[in-house]
This record gives sequence, C-alpha cells and structure tokens, in this order.
Amino acid sequence: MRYYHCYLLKLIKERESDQELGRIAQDIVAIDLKLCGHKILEYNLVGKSDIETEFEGIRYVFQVKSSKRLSEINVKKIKEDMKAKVGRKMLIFVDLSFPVQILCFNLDYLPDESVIPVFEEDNNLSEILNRNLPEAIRKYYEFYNQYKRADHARILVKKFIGVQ
Amino acid sequence: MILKSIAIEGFKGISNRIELELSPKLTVFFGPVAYGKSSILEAILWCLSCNSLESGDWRKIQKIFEDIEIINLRKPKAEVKIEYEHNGNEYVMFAETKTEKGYGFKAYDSGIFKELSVGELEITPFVRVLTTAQIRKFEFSEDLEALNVVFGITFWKKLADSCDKLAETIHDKEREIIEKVISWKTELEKIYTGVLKRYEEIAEKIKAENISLENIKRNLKELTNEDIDQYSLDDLLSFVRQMTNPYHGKLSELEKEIRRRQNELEQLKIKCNEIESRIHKIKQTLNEIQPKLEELISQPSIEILENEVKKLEKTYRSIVEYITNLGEEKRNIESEKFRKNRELSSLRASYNRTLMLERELNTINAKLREFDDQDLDKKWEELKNKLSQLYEQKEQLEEKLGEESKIVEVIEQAIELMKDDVCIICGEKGGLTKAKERCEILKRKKEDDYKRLEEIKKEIEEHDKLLGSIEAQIKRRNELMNKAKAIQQSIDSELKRIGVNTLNELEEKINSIVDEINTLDDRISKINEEIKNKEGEKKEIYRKLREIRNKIFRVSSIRDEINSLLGKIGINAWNLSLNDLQLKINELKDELQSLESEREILHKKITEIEKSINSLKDKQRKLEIEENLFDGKKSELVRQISDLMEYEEYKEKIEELESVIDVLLQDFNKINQILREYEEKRLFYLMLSKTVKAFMSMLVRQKLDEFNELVNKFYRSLYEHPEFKEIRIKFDQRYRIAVIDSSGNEVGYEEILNTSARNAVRIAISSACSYYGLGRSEFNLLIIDEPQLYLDSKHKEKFIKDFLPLIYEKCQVILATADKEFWDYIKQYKPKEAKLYEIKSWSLKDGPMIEEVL
Repeated sequence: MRYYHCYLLKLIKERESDQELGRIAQDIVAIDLKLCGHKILEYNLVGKSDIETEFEGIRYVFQVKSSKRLSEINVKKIKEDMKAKVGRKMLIFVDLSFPVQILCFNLDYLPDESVIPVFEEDNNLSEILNRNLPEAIRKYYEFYNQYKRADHARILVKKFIGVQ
Repeated sequence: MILKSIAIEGFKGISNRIELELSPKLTVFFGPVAYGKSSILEAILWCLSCNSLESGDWRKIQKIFEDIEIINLRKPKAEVKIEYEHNGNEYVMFAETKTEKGYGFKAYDSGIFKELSVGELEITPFVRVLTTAQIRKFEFSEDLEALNVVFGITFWKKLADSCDKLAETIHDKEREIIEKVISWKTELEKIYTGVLKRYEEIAEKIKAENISLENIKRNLKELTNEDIDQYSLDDLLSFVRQMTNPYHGKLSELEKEIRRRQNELEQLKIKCNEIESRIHKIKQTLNEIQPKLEELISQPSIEILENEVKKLEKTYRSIVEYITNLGEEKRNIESEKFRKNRELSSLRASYNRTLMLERELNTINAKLREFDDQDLDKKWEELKNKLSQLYEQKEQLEEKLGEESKIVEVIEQAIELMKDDVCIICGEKGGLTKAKERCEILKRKKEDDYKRLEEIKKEIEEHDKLLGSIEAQIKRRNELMNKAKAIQQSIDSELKRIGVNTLNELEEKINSIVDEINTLDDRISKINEEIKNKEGEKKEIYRKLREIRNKIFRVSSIRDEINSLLGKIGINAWNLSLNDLQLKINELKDELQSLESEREILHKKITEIEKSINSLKDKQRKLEIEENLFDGKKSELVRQISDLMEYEEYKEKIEELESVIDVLLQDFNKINQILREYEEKRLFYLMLSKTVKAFMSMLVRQKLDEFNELVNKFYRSLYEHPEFKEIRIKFDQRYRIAVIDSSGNEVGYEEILNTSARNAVRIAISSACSYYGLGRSEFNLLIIDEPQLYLDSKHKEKFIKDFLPLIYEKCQVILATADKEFWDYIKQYKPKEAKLYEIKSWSLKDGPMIEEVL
C-alpha cells in the first residue's frame, strides 16, 4: 500500500481545521528532514523562518508553505521575510492535495512574480524528502494519536526532531 | 490645421441650417442661456469625433456625449459640415446621424484629419468642450491620460496594458487548470480513502473475530460429514449456501400430524357443540311448554265454546233485524211528520202574509175615507175659477198702469218744455199748472192702481199655493186607491192558491194539520222506547259473545305457542289432539336423556386428543431450536466466508487502485509541465510590461519639464493665487498633479485648491495640451464653454487680456459665454482676426438667430 500515508494524513486532516494544517505540514517536514539526515538547528512556530538545518556542512533555511492551491504563494513576501537569514534559503511547498507531495525551491532563483513555483526546483532534495514522506507521516500519525494536543509542540521538538 | 467654417442643421437646439465662418485665432459666441451656444460647440466636437473614429466605434461617442439626444426635435436627422485648411489646402469634413443619440453616424473627410487626430479618441480631452460647471467634480484622470497622446506614448501604453492583460489571462488559465486538477485529486482521494477505510474495517473485524480459512473449515466439519479440506473460499461459500437443514423434514412431518389431530379435535368439538345446543333447546322448550300445557287442560275445549258462540250470534242477528224494522217504521212516520210540518209552515206563512195585507188594506181604506170627507174635487174647481178671475184682473190693471205711465211721461216731457204757464200744445194760459195738477192726479191714481196690482199678485200667490196643496192631496188619494186595489188582488190570489175562500177557512185548515202532527209525534215516541229496550238486549248478547271469543282466542294462542316451540326443535304438533301432544312431550324427554349420555362420551374423547397434541407440540419446539441452531451456524459461516472474501477482494482492489494512481500521477506531472510552460510565458509578459513602462517613464520625463513650463505660464496668466503660484505634473506609471506653495514645497492637490483655482488649473492643462498639440504639432484647437465661471471681474479681464493672446498665438480658440461683462472685455481686447457672434433670439422652430458683431 504505497499511498497508505495519504490515508493517515486524511484522517488527521478530517480532525483538524484548515488553520492547523500549516503547523502539521511543518511538523511533518521537520520529521522528514530529520529522516533525510538533516541536523535540525532551529524549529520556529513563529518568526521569519520555519526550520533551519545543517546538512553536509551547508546551512539551510526553510520556509514551509502548505496549501491545496499553489497559486496562493507570494514569493516576493517570502523573500522579504527571509532577507536577513544566512544560508541556502529554501521554500518547501507541501502540496496537501492527493497524493501528498513535497516541492523544494531555491528561493534565490525563484522570480518575485512567480505564483507557481516552476523555476529552479531542487529536484534532488524534493526526491529525497518525498521518498521519506510516507515514513514521516506514519511517525507523525502515531505521535498525533499518542499525545495530547497541548503537549504536541514540546514533545515533537524533544522526541522526534531533537533540536540541537 | 485651421477650422475655416461650420454649417449645422438639425443638431440639438439648432433646427434650421446655420453657416458660420470661424476665426483662425479667436471665435466667440455670446447670448443668454438656452440660446444654442453650447449646441454649436458640441456640433463642432461631434463632427470632429465622428471623423476621428471608425463608424462602428459608437461607444466612444456614447462616452463623450453621455447619451444626450443629438437630433433636433423637429428634424429627422442631424448634420454638421466643417471646412478646414491644412498646409495651404482646403478640405471638408462632414458627419450625419439619424439615430437620436448619434450612435449610428455617417462621416466623410476629404482630407487627412484622422491622421492628425492620431485616429483615436484621445484627442477629445483637449478639444473637449470644457463645461466649467462640471469641473466641480474635477475628473482630472481622463484629462491627464490625454497627455499620453501629447507625449506620443499611447503605443507603449497599449503594449504594456496588453502584456498585463495577457499575463492576467494566463494566470486565470493557470488557476482554472489547478482548480480542475485539485478537483480530480480530491475525487481520487475520496475513492482511495473510502476503499482503504472499508479495508481497515474488515481487517479489524477479521482480527477481532479470529476469522481464518482453517477455523471456518473446522467449524464446518461439525455440521457436515463432507470432505472439504481442498475447498477454496468460493467453493466453501457455495457449499455452505447449498447445505440443507436436516431438522427441516422432521419438523414438516410433525406439523402435518399436529394439523391432522387438530382437525379431528375440531370435528369432535363441532359435534359436541351441536349436541349441547340440542340439549339446551329441548330443555328450554320443555320449561316453556309445561305451564302452557297445564293452562290448556284447565280450559273448555274450543268446540264447546264455538257452539255457544253460534247460538248467541243467532239471537243477536234476530234482535238486530227487529230494531231495523222499527227504525224503518220510525223513518216513515218522521218523513210524514216532516211533510206535514212543511205544509203547516207554508200555510202559516200564507196566513201571516194575507193577514198583513188585510191590515194594510184596512189602513188605506181608512185614509181614503178621510179624503172623501174633504171633497177635494169641488175645492179644486172653485180655486181654479177664482185664480182665472184674479189673472184677468191683474192683466187689466197692468194694461191700465201702462197707459197711465205713458200719459204721465208725456205730460212730464211737456212740462219740461213749458217755460211760461202756457200749454205748448194748445197755447192755453195756466196750461202748465193744469198739466202739473193733472200729472199729480194721474200719479196718485197710478199709485193706487199699483197697490191694487200688488194685492192681486199676493192673492194669486196664495191661491196658487192652496191649489198646489189640493192637487198634491188628490194625487196622494189616487195613489192610495191604486194600492188598495193591488192589495185586494194579492189577497184574493193567495187564498185561491191555497184552495180556501176566506182567512178563517185558512185558519181552520192550519189547526187540523197541527193535530195530525201531534199524533205522529206520539207514534214516534213509542217506537223509540221499543228500540231502546231492544238495544239493551243486543249489547248484553254482544258482551257475552266477546267474552267467549276471548276465551277461544286465548286457548288457540296457547296451542299455537306450544306448536311453535315444538316446531323450533323440529316437531310438527299442529294436527295433534291434546292427548297426542302430551305423548309427544314425553318422547322429547326421553331424547333429552339419550343426548346427555352421548355428550359425556364425546367430552372424554376430546380430552384425550388434546393431550396428544400438546405432547406433539413439545416435540416440535425442541426440533425448532435444533433447526435454528443449525441455521445460525450456517449464517455465521456464510458471513465469515463473505468477510474473508471481501478482505481479499479489497486487498486486490487497493493494489489496482494504486496502479491507477501511479498512472494518473504521471498525467498530473504532464499537466504540471504544461503549467510551468504557462508560467514561463506569464512571467515573460510581466517582464515585458515592466520594461515598456520604464521606457514610457523615460519618454514622458524627457518632455514633462517643457510641458510643465507651458502649463505654469498659462496658469499664471490665467489666475493669481496668493499662495500657490506653481503647479507641476508628475509621472510615475500614472500622471498626478502637484501644487507648489510659495516656499517651494510640494503640497497635495484636491485638498488645497479652491474651486476657481481648480477651474484655472484645468483650463491651463487643457490649453497646454491644445497648444503643445500632438506629436506632429499640426492640430491645435481649444473649445471652452463658459470659461468665465468662478472668475471675478479682475480675472475675467485677465483671462481675455493676458491668457487668450498666449493661446491663440498658436492655437485656434472657440469660446461661448452668456456673461455680459466677459463679452464686453472680449470686445475690448479682441484680436483683429477675431469673429464675434451674438445670438439675438432662439425658438424651437427656427433655432438661434445669430448676428456677427463687427
């Protein structure tokens, strides 16, 4: 069952409001990055960037966006927000429409007016993240069912992500 | 290019054709409001607009003229002709419309005006008829957009706009594709999760109930002896479904036996009920018959009673016959009495009538005797003679009086004529005296005669009265005599009719009839008494008859009741004697005893059958439980096999679905590739638009300083603001106006300027556009309607004196005003070539009456 993780995600989505989906997507991406071997340096629920990591000696700054509609992304604004950050600035778009998939873009090469991220997709990173995505969702589903909502952020950071 | 002349007909307020020459510098129309000034200016604008547009481009006409009615009320069409000069050559342009609002128009130009006006409507803002009253709203955006034409950037503007539009269209397309893909994905997700959900449910159930092929086979072996080790799930399902319940046949046989016994029981119960009912009926009948039978025995027989009735009836009939005969006799006597009474009444009536007539006759005779005593005929004769004499005397006397009167009259006439005492007839002296004496004597005599005549007249009158009275008495007497005669005749005829001669005879006859009637009355009384006695006897016999008949009725009704009761239980006793009847009742009692013993036997049989049925039913219940248990196990096995099959089926389904999703994902990736191509194009157009806009900005900035200088020059010549001496047009994608205060600082625009200043700014910008002209500087025209509005006297003069000369130096100006003061300034400061027209009057029929002011 190659798309079983989509079914699990659907069960989560059915229980959550649309506002919560952004946070859930960010949690899943963080678990996925961890599975891919990234060292999580920062994990922010508020602020200019969402996740900062280090992989093979390179610092990455990730902005995670999730939506069913790609066209709702404002690249110019994201770039503005990430201006002060140091590292390879990446936009991770979690496409929650079936079947869930991750698209990674290098923000430096993404045109401001772009409403559909088409340029300079980081295929390598996208591929690795998508490969580990079913596992990441399974893990998140277990965590989601195991702990109370109030403890989610704390336990996720401590147990699953393990911020340095 | 210069407009040389204009001819207008049927346009708005201009009904009849007008032809006017236009000055190359300044043309002004003056006249009161509603005299057609604005119609002239609008006609020029309309003709120019129509000739700068394509004929199908009517929407731009609609935009400029805001749906006003172009055609004059009295004309079928509007037409405007303009003659113009360009590069020393003369041309004509013409526009005509038959549609009320001028949307459908026909235009003709012998020159190249469309090229000069860039073939676009952008020309209109600076040849627009500026109605200053409308400036209050201050719609600058359109005026400022006209600067694109002035600065020659319309092409670049259109290019940038087209790029933006294309980018937006592509974006819409992208959104449309994405929405579609998302809807497909949502549908796919729904199907996939639906299948997975069901799969999860079944899996959970199988796990919870520990369902497996081995378990199913083991359970099945408990129910059947078949060898099922090699059976697949499908085989097992069809095998279990075909399995028959072994308890089913046993139960059917048992049910049949129970039904047979129940039918037997039913038959016995019916028979028992019938016997019961017969016993009940016989008992009831015997109870009811017994007292009636005893009463019947105590009564005499019907035959004896009927013989007695016959005897009594015979006696009764003889009495009735006797009474009838007496009645007949009585009726005859009464009839005789009635006839006598009627005769007596008739005789009495005749007697009374005759008696009354005789009395009346006696009274008349007494009166007639009184008349005979008076001797009326003799008296009448005497009075008649006397009256004749008196009439004779009266005539003689009247004759005499007439003669005397004549004589007196003659004498009096003569006396009148006589003056001296001499007779005029005979001439005798003393004639007058004698005449007078004679006249006196005659007068006295006449008076005496007259008195005598009056006496005779009175006497005649008295005698006439007396004669009348006697004549009336004679008449009365004659009448009485006639009446007496008639009465006597009536009496005689009445007596004759009765057959008697006198009234006494009649009286005797009456008395004899009265005696006869009394005799008849006696006879009737005797008969009545006899009848009364016989009636008493009759009643007595009748009473006895009734009593016996009641007895007969009672006896026969008892007998009927007994017969009817016996009939109800099937015994016919109608022709039986009383003894036979008693024998029949005894037989009935015997039957009752035998029925009671039969009933006892049946009751015993019924109890036995009921017991056997109950034991069979117990057996049936046990078998049913066994049967249900078997069916339950069978259903459970079917359900478990089905669940297991569904589980396997869903497993396969999911695998198939995932293969489909894999294929679909490839398709989605292809769509994403298309989207990327779209996005590349969109970004290209956005980039192009950005570049063109930057180029436009560069072009505008190059010309803007020069243009701003011109605007400020016009503004200052037009208006003196105490603080804001300078205005500046700025460009950053869009045009905007900045106002500079006396310190050189830039302030806002709309919030800072008063109405008159705004008006001045607008005129300054529009004038600058007209002055600056198009890129080729070949068409410079400014038309302003009522430019003096919001201007005081000083500024009105300044407008004419300072501002206009700056404009008409290079630009043809056409104005219209209703302001007398402004008009006077125009006349005062007009250039030599100016054309001034005054509109003297206006009517709906003839339109404006225009005179040129020289």
